[in-house]
Amino acid sequence: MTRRLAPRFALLLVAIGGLALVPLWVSNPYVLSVLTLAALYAIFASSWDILSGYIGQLNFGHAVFFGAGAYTTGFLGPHLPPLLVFPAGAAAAVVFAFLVGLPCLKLRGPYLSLTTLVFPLILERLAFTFRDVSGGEYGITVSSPLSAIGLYYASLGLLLATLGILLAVAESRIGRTFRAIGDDDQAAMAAGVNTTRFKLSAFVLGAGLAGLGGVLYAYHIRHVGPEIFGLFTSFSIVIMGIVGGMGTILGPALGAYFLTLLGESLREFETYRQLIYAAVMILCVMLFPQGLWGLGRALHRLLPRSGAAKDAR
Amino acid sequence: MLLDIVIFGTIWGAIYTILALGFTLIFGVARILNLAYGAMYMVASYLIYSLVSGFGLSAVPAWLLAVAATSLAGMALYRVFIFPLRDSLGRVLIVTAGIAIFLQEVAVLVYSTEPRYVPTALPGSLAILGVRVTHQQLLTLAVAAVLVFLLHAFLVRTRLGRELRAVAQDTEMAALMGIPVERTYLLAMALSTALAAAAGALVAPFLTVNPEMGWSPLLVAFTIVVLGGLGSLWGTIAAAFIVAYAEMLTAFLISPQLRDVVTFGIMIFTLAFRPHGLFGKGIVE
Repeated sequence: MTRRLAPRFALLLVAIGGLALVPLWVSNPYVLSVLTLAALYAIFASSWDILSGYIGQLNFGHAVFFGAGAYTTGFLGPHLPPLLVFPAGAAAAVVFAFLVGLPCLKLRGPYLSLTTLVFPLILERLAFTFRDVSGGEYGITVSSPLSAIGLYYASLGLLLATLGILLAVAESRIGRTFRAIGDDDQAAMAAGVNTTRFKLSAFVLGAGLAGLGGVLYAYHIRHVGPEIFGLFTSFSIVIMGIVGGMGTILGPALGAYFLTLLGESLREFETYRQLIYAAVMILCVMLFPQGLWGLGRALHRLLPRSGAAKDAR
Repeated sequence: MLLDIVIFGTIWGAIYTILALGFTLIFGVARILNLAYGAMYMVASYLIYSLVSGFGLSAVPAWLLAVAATSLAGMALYRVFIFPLRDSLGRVLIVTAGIAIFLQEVAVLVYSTEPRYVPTALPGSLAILGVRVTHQQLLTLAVAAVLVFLLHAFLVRTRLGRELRAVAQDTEMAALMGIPVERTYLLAMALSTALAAAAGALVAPFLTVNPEMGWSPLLVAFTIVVLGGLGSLWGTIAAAFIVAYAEMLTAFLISPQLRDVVTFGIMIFTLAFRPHGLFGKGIVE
């Protein structure tokens, strides 16, 4: 197992190491802020992948989890030391993992997707309605205990930890069980797998990591409002996961960087961002269902040096 | 208050019946869960806005034109995007979600996010037991009833309608009997989109038309289908009215903003505790 993981861990360390060096020669605060955002989206997309890519249950409402982390930061940020805000954000996200996960346990395919889709919409409406708690459409202003550069490295650190944990889980016995449930949950159940427990753990694991990311997201944006539960927030995570390549952990992170940077490079076409995201996803689903990661693997296989044995999986 | 709830619940129940019938048609016949369904409703609303306000058409031709054009768009959408992916429910779901976002953003570019108002075909209103109801709302109720009646007649009495039901019941057997299954799917898509468009064009005059307006009807239609089960006209109608009355109760007694929340709650509770729907012929296997 470790041998199969080694190339991906090496790739991950090189990529994060490279990103960690960026502030040494780029001092533009705008670039740094975009890269921080990309890292946070990469955390959301990869934590989405464990349920959606491995168990194959397309979650259309991942925003519930990082939104819970972000709102927790808004509520508790002024009252708690920052080091306690992170576990609180993760805990709030885990509570929602149970709230969403329990009714979803028996559901499959489109039923699960649409059920997960409406949870953030319910929270969005509640945030609009109960304004004295949530601040209504203005949301809550958050002050960050970290500087811009501190936030950048905190996001990169959390991204590294998230991807490391998820890769290790995905390649372990648990990850293989996730895949088995995704391929055929009836067969997995017949083989003695407690699918309920595994599905719920995938919800909890993905939600907890997204909740931590949500805390950093609130610090980075310096604000949390109902738009975090909006339809497009959840869909953009799905889009990043699909464009990057589902069921690969690193693929969705790559997709997050690709789309965030693409969106920012077309900044003068701000109004086109959602249009471009949707178009890129439609193209991907129609033409490269394995996403960028699959495309990269196919190119890698074409290289003369890489033997078939190297690409065992 | 109570009368408001009853009267507006009835009007919305009729609209929801059309929406749910269109949604269940393509889902029941072709097992396609079309997340772009609400976008078709939105497209039809904007079309009727353009035709009436931009081109100065009168209401009836504008309505017919909007429904026909949207239905054609639905068929094109099926052929180009859904047909190649049809074997995978998940990919159909993703691609139709992408199309819904895409169309919404096209509407933003063409019309901006500014809400638009469609002039009503029948100005004026009357008081029913003290509740003010516009003529347009009554017209909507009447047209919805006629559409449900026509659809029922089509499904029961015509050859094409029987073919549709046969494919919905057992695709393989229908194919063996010589029914052109692919053509039937296309017909189901055309009818389904036409119903979404009909609903969109009917309600446009008493709602504001905006790019995001399609999501709520999509989720309402899905909730009704989950609640009422598949393939039962009466189940669908009953579920549509239950959802409409529940929404109106919430809107009048608590807050109009929480209208959708009740529907979403019904959907979650039905799927979690009564996945076979109220009447046993559920859609969840």
